[in-house]
Amino acid sequence: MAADWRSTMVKSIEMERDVREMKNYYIIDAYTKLAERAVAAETNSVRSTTGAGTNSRELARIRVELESLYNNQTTSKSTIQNLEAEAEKLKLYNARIDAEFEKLQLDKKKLESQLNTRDEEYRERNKSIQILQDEILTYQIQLNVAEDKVNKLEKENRELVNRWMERVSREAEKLNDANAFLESIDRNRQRNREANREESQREVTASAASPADHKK
Amino acid sequence: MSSRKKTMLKVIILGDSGVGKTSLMQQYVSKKFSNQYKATIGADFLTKQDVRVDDRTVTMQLWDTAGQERFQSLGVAFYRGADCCVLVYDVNNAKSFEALDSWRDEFLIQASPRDPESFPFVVLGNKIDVEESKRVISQKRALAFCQAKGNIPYFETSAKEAINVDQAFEVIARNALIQEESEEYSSDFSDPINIHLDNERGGCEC
Repeated sequence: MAADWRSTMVKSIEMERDVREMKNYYIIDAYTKLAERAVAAETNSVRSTTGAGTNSRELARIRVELESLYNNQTTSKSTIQNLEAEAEKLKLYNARIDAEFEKLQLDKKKLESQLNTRDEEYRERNKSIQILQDEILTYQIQLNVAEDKVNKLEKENRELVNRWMERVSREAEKLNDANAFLESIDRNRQRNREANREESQREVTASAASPADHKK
Repeated sequence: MSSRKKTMLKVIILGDSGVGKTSLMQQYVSKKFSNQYKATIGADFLTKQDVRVDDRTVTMQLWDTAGQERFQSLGVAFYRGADCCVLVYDVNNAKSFEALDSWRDEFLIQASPRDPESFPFVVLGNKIDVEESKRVISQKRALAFCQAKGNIPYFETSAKEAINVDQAFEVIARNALIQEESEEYSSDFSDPINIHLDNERGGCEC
């Protein structure tokens, strides 16, 4: 991401610089041509003074050309001024871009450091997650063991309760039987008592009815 | 019949879990109370000997049931030959009072007494020692229920503080004895051994 941004920046700066240099090149070129022409004109005038005489027509042409060169120079000057102003503006813009670039570099550094911190945090977090996962696994194993134990104990408890219930049931049956037995004994005793009483009464009645027999 | 010495009265105690059936029984038999709750599994049996009922001395066999449903599978054996059924509820627990009817029905179905209408029940409203603000079943409501079910005797008790426990069991013993005697009377009528004995005696006379 950062590399993309930098290449974009460099590319745009180079393009702007090329444009600026191309503009300066045009001015430099014009000046060079002007100087060449000035040198040629000077040489021609020396040749005409030292030569066979001045050609007025040539002079007039040179004057017109000079005029035109002056005009050109004026235009070039104003173009140069414009370009210089433009260059100044571009310089300012460049400075601003540089400053911004600096700022962005700083931001980038800051972000990179944040990223590092974040990475570190992630690593720590991952470690913690790993520890937690291990703990969860341990607890899961413990839970499974405990569940097995609970199931085993529940089964054992169920069996014990069933055994106890069977035992209580047997005890209840025994008590019922014992009660019935005691009751029957009690009843038999009572009947025997009543029978004995009846018999003794009969004996008393019989002895009272035949006292002669007794005397015998 | 009343002259016959009756040795054993079987009394069944029924009611919801935690109303204090075992505690009432323990208080009556051993004069002891424990705050610790231990569910009765299946049943417990306690005997109170030498109980004086008017001119009679009887032994009370108290059959304490489990209130928890999971410990109730004893069935007919438990109820057979009962002379009195004690229905217990907690005056601070409406559900335990509402369940009395179904406990009574359960008893009548399982025990199938000869005369269900006259079979002696006694209702005990336990835990009256708990503060009054927690009470949810009034004495009036309980008495109305008992009256509607054929004038069942009603006692408000506290197994913890031994309130009304002896009085309640005295009535239980008396009613159980009446029931026992009526059962004996009717069983004597249909006792084939009795007839056989009489015949035997008659034979000897000849």
